[in-house]
Amino acid sequence: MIRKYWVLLKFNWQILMEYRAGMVIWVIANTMPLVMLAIWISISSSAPVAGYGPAEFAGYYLALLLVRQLTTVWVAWELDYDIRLGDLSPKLLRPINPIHSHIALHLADKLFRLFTVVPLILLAVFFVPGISYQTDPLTLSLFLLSLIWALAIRFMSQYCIGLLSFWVTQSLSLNEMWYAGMLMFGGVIAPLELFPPFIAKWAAYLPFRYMLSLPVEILLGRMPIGEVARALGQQAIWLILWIGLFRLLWKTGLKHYSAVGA
Amino acid sequence: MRYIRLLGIFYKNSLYTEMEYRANFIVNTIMSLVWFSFAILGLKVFFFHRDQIGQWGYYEAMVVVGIYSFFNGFIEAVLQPNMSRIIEQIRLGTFDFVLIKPVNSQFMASLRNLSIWKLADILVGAGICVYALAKLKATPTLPDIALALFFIFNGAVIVYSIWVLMVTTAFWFVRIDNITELFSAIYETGRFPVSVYPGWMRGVLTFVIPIAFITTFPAAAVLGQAKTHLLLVSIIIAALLLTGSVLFWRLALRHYSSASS
Repeated sequence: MIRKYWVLLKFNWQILMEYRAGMVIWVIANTMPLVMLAIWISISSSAPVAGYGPAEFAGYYLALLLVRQLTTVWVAWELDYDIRLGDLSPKLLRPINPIHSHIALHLADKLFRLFTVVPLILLAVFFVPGISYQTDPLTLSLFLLSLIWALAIRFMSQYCIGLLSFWVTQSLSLNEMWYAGMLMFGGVIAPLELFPPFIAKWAAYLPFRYMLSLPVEILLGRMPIGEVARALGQQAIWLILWIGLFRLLWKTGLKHYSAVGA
Repeated sequence: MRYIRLLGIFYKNSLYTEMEYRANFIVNTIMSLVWFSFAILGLKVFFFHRDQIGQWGYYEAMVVVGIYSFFNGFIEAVLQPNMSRIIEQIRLGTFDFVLIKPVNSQFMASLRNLSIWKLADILVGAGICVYALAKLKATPTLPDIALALFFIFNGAVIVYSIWVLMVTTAFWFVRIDNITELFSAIYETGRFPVSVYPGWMRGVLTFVIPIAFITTFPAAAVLGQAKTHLLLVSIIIAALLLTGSVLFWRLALRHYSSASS
C-alpha cells in the first residue's frame, strides 16, 4: 500500500509542477484572512477587542493562514468532473479505491506548500513584533494532530459533497455554501471567541470550527487543557462521522452510477 | 449604434440558451444570499464590539455590501463567461474565429455572452441597498440617485477595464487561466467600506487598484454623502483604465500567433 502511495505521490507531484504558475496564483489568491486581519488591526488600534490587540490579531491570522494553507481541499471539483463526465469509469478499473489518487494529489500539494508558503509565513511570524504562541512540546503535538484531523475532515466532507454528483448536478453550489460556512464559522471573519454569545451558542454545534479554527486555538494557548481535550474529542467524532458518510455514499452512489459515453 | 444593436442580439441569444437551465436562477439567488449572510455576520461581529467602523454605521455599511453584491453579479454575469472563453480560445488556438469577425475583436470577445442567471446577484444587491436605506429612513433625492448611477456606471467601466487588462496577459502566459482569481481576491476587500482599512491600504485600494471607486464611493453616493470632486476623479480613472485596456489589447493582437496558419 505504501509503495502504491509513493507512486501516486510522485505522479501527482509532476502534475502539480506542470501548473506551477497557476499554483502560485491559487496560493496567493486566498486573501480573505488577510483582509479581515487588516480590518481588525484597524479596529483594535485604539483599544483591544476582548483581549485581542493588533499583535494578537496578527498572531491569530498568521496561524490561521498557516493552517488554511495546509488544509486546502478541492476534491469536490475533481469528483464533480469525474462523475458527471464519466471519467470515473477508468478509475474504477484500478485495483484501489479512486479516493487514494485524490488523497495522493492533495498530499503532494501540501508538501509543495510546506516547502514554499509555510517558510514564508514562519518568516512573517518571526519578524512581526509581539506575536507569541504556546510552543511547548505537548501543545505543538496537539496542534499537529488537530491540523491533520482538520485536513482529513475538510477532505472527507468535501468528498461526500462531491459524491452527491451521483444524484444531483449542483454539488458545486453545495460545496460553495459549505465553503462560505467555513469562512463564517471556522474563524476567518474573526476568532470565534469574539462572536456575540447568541451566535456562538449554536455555532458550536457546527463542524466548521474543527476544520480550521481548532488547531489555531490550540496554538494560541488561550484554552485550558481540559477544554483542548474536549474539543479534540469532538473533532475526532466529526471525522469518524464523515468517514462513515463517505462509505455510505460511495456504496449507494456506485449502484446509481451509469457512465456517459464510457 | 451598430454595436448596441449587436449587444442586444448577443444577449437575446444568451437568454434563449440559458432558459433551459431555469433552476440555476434559484441556486444563484441562494448563493447570493449565502454570501450576503457572510458579510452581514462580519458586520454583526464588528458592531458587537464597536459602534462605528471607519465612520460608517451598521446600515450604511450594509449599503456597501449591497453594492459589492451588485457588482459581483455584473462580473459573474457579463464579464466572467467571456473572459474564461477568451483564455480557452487562446489556449486552443480557436481565437482566430473571433478575429475574422467584421467587428472590433475586443468588443466581440469580451461581451459576447451573458450568464443571465448570475444576474440574481444584481437583484439581491439592489434589494439589500433598498432594505438598508429603508432601515435608515433615508430618502435619496433625485440628484443623489443620478450621482449614484453615475458612480456605478464608472465602477462598471473600471471593473471591465481591469478584467480586460488581466485577461489580455493570457496572450503571453497561456496557462494563466486562474488570473481572474487574483482580482476576486482583491475585490473581496470591496465588501466593507474602504475607510475600515489601515491608511496605506486605503491608498492602494483607491489609487492603485481602485476598488473604492467600485463599491465604497457609489455606496456613499446612494447614501447622499458623496463628494462631487470624487466623481471627477472616478471619471478620469475609468477613462484611463478603459483606454489602457484598449491599447493593451491591440498590442497583444499584434503579437498574437495562432495555433495554425
